[in-house]
Amino acid sequence: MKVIFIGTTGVHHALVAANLLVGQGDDGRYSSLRGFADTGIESSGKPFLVSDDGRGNQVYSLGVGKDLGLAERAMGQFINILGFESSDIMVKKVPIKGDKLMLLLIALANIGWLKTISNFLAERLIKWQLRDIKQCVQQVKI
Amino acid sequence: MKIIYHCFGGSHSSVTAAAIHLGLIEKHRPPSMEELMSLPYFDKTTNQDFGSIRFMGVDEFNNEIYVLGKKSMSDRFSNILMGIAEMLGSADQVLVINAMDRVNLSMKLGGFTSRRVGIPSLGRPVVARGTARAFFQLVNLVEITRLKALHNAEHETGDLV
Repeated sequence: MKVIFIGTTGVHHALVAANLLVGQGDDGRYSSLRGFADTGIESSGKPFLVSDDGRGNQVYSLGVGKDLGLAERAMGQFINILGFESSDIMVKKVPIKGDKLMLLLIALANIGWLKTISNFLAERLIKWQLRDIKQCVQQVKI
Repeated sequence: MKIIYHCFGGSHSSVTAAAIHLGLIEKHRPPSMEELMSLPYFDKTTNQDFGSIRFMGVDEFNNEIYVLGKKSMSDRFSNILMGIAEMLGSADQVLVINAMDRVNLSMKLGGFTSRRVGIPSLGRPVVARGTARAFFQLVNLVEITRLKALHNAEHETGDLV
């Protein structure tokens, strides 16, 4: 099964959710996760593979901008149109308070000297909203 | 193959492009307002339709044609959907086409007045005039898309042989 966690950005809270699902990032050092605040991954607009267990289970994160509901609906219908079912792939949105701020932080991360501050603030925001992120993760079973 | 035309509201440029693709309107002359209004979904969408992929028909090569309104997500949305298609190993079965870059100011103003402000009597004539002005650009977009679809289909057939 494939699971895609979608967030306003795909390299902050959605990435943390994807990592938590596969048992990574428990130490709380989220900014050291592979792909964290990576502007290249974010600007590609494509799902970022976080984990592949080699048995067909893959976990991705994806940034879709400020309208999570719209993206979730369109992606769900698109997957159906392609002939796949909910047992093949699951799209799970990760809404947290202040998630639109992540869009600003990823824009700031593009400016070299602001990257460190941006990462620090993103990590703080994630820690503050960790309960909501974990709740989203708990709703997913692979 | 599935071809999805998308624009801001999934109501004007994407619907017109899909209609051209399907031959619902003639492509050698701009359509009249009555012809545009007779198209399914043209200037008829609501807020609930954002993010809904709506079926418009099947073309002569058996391609399924859809329209989608994705608000201001621009080309990012094409990348998102194509990324998912790649992930599922279906990238060669899908074309996601952004019709927004063929939209002119009249279409934006008319569309906004009709759909967002909710005064169709005022917005419709403006959006219809804008659509007529952008018509041959939309025809061009559709022709490029049809060529891409044909190319993909030939490539697929070649792979099978």
